[in-house]
Amino acid sequence: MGRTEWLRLYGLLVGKDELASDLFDEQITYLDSVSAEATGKSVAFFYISSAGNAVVRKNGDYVTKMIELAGGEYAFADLGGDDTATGSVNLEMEQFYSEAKDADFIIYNSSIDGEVRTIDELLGKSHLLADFKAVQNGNVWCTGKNLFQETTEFGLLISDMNQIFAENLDTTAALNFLYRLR
Amino acid sequence: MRYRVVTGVLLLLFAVLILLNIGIGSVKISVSGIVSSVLGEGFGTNEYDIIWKVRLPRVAAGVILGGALALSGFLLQAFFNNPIAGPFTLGISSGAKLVVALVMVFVLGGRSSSSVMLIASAFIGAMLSMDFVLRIARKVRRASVLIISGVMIGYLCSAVTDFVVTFASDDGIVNLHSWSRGSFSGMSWDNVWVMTAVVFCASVSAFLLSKQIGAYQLGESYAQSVGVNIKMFRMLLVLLASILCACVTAFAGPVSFVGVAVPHLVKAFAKTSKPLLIIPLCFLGGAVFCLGCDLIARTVYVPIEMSISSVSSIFGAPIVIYMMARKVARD
Repeated sequence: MGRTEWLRLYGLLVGKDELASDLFDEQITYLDSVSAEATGKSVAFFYISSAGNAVVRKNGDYVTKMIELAGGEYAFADLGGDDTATGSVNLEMEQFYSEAKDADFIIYNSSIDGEVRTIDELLGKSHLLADFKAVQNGNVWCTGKNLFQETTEFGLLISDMNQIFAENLDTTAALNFLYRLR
Repeated sequence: MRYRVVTGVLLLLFAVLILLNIGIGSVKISVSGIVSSVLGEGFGTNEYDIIWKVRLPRVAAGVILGGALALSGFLLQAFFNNPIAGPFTLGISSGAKLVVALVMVFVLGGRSSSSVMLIASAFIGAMLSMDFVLRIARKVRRASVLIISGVMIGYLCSAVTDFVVTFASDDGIVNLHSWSRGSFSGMSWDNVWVMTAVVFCASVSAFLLSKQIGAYQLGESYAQSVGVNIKMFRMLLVLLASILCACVTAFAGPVSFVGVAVPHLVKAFAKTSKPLLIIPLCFLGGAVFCLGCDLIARTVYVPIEMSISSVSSIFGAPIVIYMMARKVARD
């Protein structure tokens, strides 16, 4: 929650430290409401670039930490390394296919290359995705375009992820940062 | 004799690189696993899927598009009677890249596009650049001026692409940047069938023009005296070179130096420039060069992938410089 806690500094700078603390505590409440138990569900978080590569987050990156906090297991667990400043890598397609094919959930990162709305649009990005367990089971979710600008609400995002991984979704209510592809 | 040796060496390299490209990858597959998968056994297993859905279409794309690019370069070199003419040096790849960029940013947004749309836009861009080059070629006969004009067209197209980027959305910029680095990744069999049809028709047509190209190499007046319809012939040559170049740009993005380096190397090694012999050899050479570059691009930093253009430039540029320096020293 370090990225969210910057909110308190900004609050201090503009003389709204009490309000900032309240907002930060609200995010902590969301995080606390998430069950600490791992669901055992594997999750692939990626996007397909226009060059046909899969761009995934390195293991240990803050997105993968959020997935773990939400009870999921990041599918690309072997993709570590802090040798470069970037948090993402262009992964060779066969490695991606091999590691993400059996993932229980896909979260398509549409904050980089534009939002996708349907499974067909997703398959247009790569024909290989049709073989994925998550695609066949309908467990494909997509981030909103401005996900990475919403650092002040990461507690809520983790709560969204947890609802998906724990499969206790309230079907009547929409999630805040993620939507299901159909 | 020398031609046969060069053909034999290229065929051997081709076979070795095909085997290496199928056998090596970020996912380790045993030799027996590769053999049985290639033979169609183990349907539905991870190994089978990786071989048939990832590696084989990619190898096929490398062969077809590499051959197409080298052949496009050869046709342009014959047309301009200039050994360093090529889709990249004449700005034709840059023109194709520009129009694809415009389509990607203003028409498609973040959506993926059909093969036909990409080929059509790359072809329009290639033809526009080609038209520009031809206009200059008509006024200026000096080869160096023509190449400089080609480089200028490249800069011009890059500048317009930069303008496009300025007004594009974030996702448009990301898509354009990824595509413009060039890659054979993400090829499907559908892509392979389309590119096979386009490249096969264009390559066979170029081969059928071998005699006319040979006559044209001896001078326009000689070609005319042996019955070549110069106007029609020149138009066909330009059309075929542009189709081949556009097809590569549409499917793999801009791939540099193959079009210039390979025909130059093939002619130098085979010590002949007879189109009947050089056209198949150019195609084979282009396939070998691209298979080699792609193997390096996807295995050197496993499992991270490099762009194909980075590798092809690293190998292509020094080879051309060396060959040209050697030729000048010998002359």
